Amino acid sequence: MTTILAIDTSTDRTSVGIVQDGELIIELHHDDPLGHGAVLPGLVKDALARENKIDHVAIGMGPGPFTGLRVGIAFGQSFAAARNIPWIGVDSLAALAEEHNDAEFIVAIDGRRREFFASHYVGGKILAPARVMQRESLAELSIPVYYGNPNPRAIAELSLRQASVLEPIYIRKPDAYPAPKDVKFRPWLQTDLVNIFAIEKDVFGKEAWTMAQLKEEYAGKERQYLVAEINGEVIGYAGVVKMGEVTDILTLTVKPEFRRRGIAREFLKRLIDWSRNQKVEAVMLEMRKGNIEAEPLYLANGFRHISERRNYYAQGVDAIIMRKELI
Amino acid sequence: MSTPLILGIETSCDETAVGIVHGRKLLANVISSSVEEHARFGGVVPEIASRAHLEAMQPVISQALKEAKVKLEDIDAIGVTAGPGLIGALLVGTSAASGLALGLDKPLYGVNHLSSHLAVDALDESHKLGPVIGLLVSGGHSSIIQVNDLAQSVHVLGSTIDDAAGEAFDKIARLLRLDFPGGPAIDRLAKEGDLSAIDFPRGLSDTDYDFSFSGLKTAVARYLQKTPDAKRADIAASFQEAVVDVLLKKSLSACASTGIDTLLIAGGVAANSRLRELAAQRCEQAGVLLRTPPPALCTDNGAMVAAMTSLAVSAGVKPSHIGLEALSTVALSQPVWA
Amino acid sequence: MNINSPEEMFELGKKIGSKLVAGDVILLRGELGAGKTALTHGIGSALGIDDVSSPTFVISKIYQGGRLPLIHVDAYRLMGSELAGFDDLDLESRIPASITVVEWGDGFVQRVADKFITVAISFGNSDSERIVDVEGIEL
Repeated sequence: MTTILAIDTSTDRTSVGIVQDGELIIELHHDDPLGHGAVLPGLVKDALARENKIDHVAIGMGPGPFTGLRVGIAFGQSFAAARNIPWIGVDSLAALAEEHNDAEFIVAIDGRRREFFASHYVGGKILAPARVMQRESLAELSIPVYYGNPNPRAIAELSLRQASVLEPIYIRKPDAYPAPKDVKFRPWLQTDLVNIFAIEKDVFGKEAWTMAQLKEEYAGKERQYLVAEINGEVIGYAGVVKMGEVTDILTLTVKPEFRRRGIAREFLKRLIDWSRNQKVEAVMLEMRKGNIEAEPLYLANGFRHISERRNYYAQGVDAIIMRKELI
Repeated sequence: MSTPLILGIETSCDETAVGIVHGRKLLANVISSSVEEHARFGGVVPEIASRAHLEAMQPVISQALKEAKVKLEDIDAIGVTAGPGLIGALLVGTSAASGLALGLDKPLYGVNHLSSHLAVDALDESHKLGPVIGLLVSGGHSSIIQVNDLAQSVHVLGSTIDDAAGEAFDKIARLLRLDFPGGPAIDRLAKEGDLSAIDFPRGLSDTDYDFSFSGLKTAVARYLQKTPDAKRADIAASFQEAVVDVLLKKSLSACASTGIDTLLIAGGVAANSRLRELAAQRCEQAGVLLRTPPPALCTDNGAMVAAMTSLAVSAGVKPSHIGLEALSTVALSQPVWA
Repeated sequence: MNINSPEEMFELGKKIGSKLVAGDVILLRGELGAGKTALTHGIGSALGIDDVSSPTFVISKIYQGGRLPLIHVDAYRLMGSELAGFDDLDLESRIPASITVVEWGDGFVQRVADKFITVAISFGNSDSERIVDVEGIEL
């Protein structure tokens, strides 16, 4: 006779069951996205009152939200150690899939923020490793999508059929901010200077860089200048220079009608990467005080206010010096 | 039970730690430090801390049992830090502890992280247990505590109203472009500096036992802004002196007014060399008995949790419910969870 | 508005706190020493939570026992590291039933809340003067 204690905390539900020779003899659960920690031990205690002799522990290893998942895994592994019995890790999504036998379907576990961890099954077999999918994408599919909570019976069954999943299943969510589509980023060329000068005048008026300054930058060493192009037209540019132990971002400009598309963010990412390759301590930049358009982007990328320079740009136009540590 | 065999688990913040004690005798103290990983990010980063706790938990438990030369079946009770701390990290510890307790059918004690820092003093068997004034200073806490009975009667006389002392060290270290963790870095740099070079403000001199390090932090930041060429070692030394001075002044004041002539300094900042040096001087002058745990027991560890649990068991305190709740913030007046 | 002392900052926090409802998220902007924690102390006080202190060391502190739970986050050390660090705080489950204050939260708050209140604190002309801008709530 094989008696299995099955535990899963990969969803909002804390789920406990004891399966004896394939039969679920007791099943307990509690639904609360924040409750796993305080609830799991009590459920297990109640289950053990029904049957205390356990041969092994089957633990749902996710995917699922971090905090809940760890409760089940930490508890299950320790319980097994205390009883001197094995623990066997099980893919929680696979356990969900056990309950369905459509020719093709998807099972999904809520990963928060309208994102789900999903696996695609065809003919009872998994098509590809589980991945993150947006709720909207799942809603558009014409194949059945099953949400739900892994059943302890399925968790126990899989612990007998499949090799133990030894590590928690973490699926890295893709970067929420992919590079903007249809925009080409490349190092600048001499022929870009004229177009850049035109944008400078447009955006900065009297404070625009002169052609002479642009040419000087172009000839300069230890710096990287990039342009962003849409359909062959330069619509933005950015430049950074290495100065001793730091790099300094000298400009990051996008034509007003092309803003709010992630172009500045992509520039910033690339300039920071270039800076990392220079092995400097930090990246600096100066920003107009009150530039509420740019400030959140810098703050969100790890830049911090270091100091201020009064009347830096012009009388009454102060600069904020910002710095991002790289080491 | 007067000499219980206790396994204690600590995961409130950065360290995954397990300690085993027998009564007041320390048998094992294992710490799986994530400090190296965190140094890259300049602080305790939850995702990494939480994941590291889960990965380290079973190995650290095994290692502790091996060092103590005991088996899980021999353990009389399990203790675990149930708060305060980072909730995600705490949950790994409390879940593991519950699993052990239920699996072994032994009692579970959820204990207060702050009380545990003070309890580590009990592991020096030459110390008589009795009322002490505790100065608890760490990254997350700065408090003066009147301890009558650690397991049952502690009274917070004062604490920080903004930054903890350790936090202030970390923030100033950042301003001075020093490594993480900031405390040891400032301790080292300060040795090369003049502690009387700059007279930084001591926080909150009008209330008796509360601390405030926010004003000191701002004063150092302003000083750096105005005199960017100042010698960093002097700034470190003077800042450190300002912190240490006010910590000791208020603690000794508490000793005087309560009539308790033993001062116990605990928590991560208790490892600071200047604090220990000045404490020794001032305590001698004041006729106060000073107790400072060895530096390895000052930073977060499992031995302190085991010690706290051991004291609770010996005092006949009831074990916690198996479904105890990890709490991110909790008053020190609750040493053991119901 | 102009704030001239830590006590005034605390009172402003109390005023804001009294108007907050469950699910409110506040993005708190300001440099080191601007008074973010002092303001949050005031917010806590309005909720009946008196022991608010800096969460920098642990990154997030959750206070129960008030009119509503208060979640106080300092994302300073998360900046520059992967967003997974912020995800692990698992705030989304807690936010709807709590008041959440995030210091240094640009880039993070936007991931967990579609709309939020912004309080920006900057330094004024004198050492003790601050200029506070509040957006997203009527005071």
